[in-house]
Amino acid sequence: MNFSEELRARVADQTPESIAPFEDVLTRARRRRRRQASTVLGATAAVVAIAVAVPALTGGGAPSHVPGSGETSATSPTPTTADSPGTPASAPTSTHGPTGEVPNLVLQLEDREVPLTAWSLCWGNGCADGFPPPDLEQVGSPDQVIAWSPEADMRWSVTFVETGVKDKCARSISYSAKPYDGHHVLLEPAGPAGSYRVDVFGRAPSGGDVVYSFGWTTPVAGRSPKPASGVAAVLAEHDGELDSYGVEVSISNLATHPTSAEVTITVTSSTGESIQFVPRGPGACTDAGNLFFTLRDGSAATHIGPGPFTYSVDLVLDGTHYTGTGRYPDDLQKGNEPSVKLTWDPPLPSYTVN
Amino acid sequence: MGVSSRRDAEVAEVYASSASGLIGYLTVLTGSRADAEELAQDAFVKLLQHWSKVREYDDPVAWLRQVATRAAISRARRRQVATLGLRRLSTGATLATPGPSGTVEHSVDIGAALATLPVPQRAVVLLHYVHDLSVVEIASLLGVAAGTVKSRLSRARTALAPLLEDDRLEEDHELL
Repeated sequence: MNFSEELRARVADQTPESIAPFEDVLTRARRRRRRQASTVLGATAAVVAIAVAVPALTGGGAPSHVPGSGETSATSPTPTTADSPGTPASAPTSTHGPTGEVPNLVLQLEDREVPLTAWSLCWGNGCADGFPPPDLEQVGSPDQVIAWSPEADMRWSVTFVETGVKDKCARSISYSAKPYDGHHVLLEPAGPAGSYRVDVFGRAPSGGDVVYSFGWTTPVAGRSPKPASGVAAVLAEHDGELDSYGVEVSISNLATHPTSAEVTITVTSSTGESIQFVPRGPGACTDAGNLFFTLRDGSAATHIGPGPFTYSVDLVLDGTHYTGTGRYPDDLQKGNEPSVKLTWDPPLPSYTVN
Repeated sequence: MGVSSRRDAEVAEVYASSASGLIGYLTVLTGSRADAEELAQDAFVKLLQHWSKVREYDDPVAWLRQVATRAAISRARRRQVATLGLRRLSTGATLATPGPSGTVEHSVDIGAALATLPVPQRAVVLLHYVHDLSVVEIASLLGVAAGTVKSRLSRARTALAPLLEDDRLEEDHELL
């Protein structure tokens, strides 16, 4: 093997089989925009920063760490008093970190407390991005997990991401967690029993947000995601004029990730004139059960006559046709404009947890 | 969905197809998976910001590699990794690595040899040997003079040759 081949082999050897979800990039981009928009920090401001170790080439990487966010070692075990969501747990023995800093999330297990450090956050005057630690804190197999935050009245969203999925096509399931007093939140399983990385996203009333992760092997099946659905976007309004930002069809929460998927969308004006688009996609699976099709230019649809317009989507999943229908602008999805909600015949096969 | 979601979807496709390879390259370049992942994500954030321009390029991945490589070199300078590398070099560190038959060979692993190089030299070696870029192309990518690239390649070759203890460097590439 010559030097070039040896180097290529080295790079191939260091190429990971799985990568962080693209959502992490979007989160980082959003945080950067917010950071740029924030006021200039004073020299003495409590700016948090990621400290990344620079190990030797043979030593591997180290997880990002947020200075000032507290120690991560657990204190002595403290049995909780809450076995059910109806019985609020007491505060943990320690917040496991200095107060006034980025809050740790403390998991109150039956036999111990597990403090989690935020790996991505915007808090106070600073933001920091990171990655879930490679060696997640494992909570074992409890039926549910009670978490405590020193910050009151946080709003929580929890995402279960399958672990050990080698082809990068892991399924993720999210839900809003149920807060049952000012500082406690009940985390319940989602998806079938199995091993998950659980990302806990918290947003404070003050606007700060934090993300923590831990490992959980759920012993029982939990929540299912929302039923399968789909939206389409072709036309849009721009300064009062009909326009198009491109053609998009997005399908969510399918029962299984198809081997093959194709989509054709027909846009029909109120005069009956129509035009057809064949968006390309989906790309490689990075999120099981979710598909995305896109075409750069949909402006031809602005010339077929006046609205309202009917969108008819022919979706072919592994040879089976599904027809999705919606009207623009009548069926615009609030908060996701100019996407139009589609009604499916037959209904799309939904992912459910048995 | 609007312009940004279309952009996100297109960049997501690039991410799905190229992020792993970029992380592999950056891991070898920086010697750290954590650094590599962060640099890669930063590069994709920049790709989102510049997508309207980069989408027209023949090879957006080359653009990503350029952004990430420059960032890696900049970061390494800040951390004075070069000093660390030179210190390792001066110790004459060698590793005993298992050979193909499982026997231990007393030669230096290529990763350990690369670790002795400052990141700017490591970058030109990787871009030249792994990505088959010419001196002129590397100079353009890194924003330095061709003479600087030649100089870095030369120094890298000088540093690597005694560690690799063979003529692997000269088998298929002429450095200068």
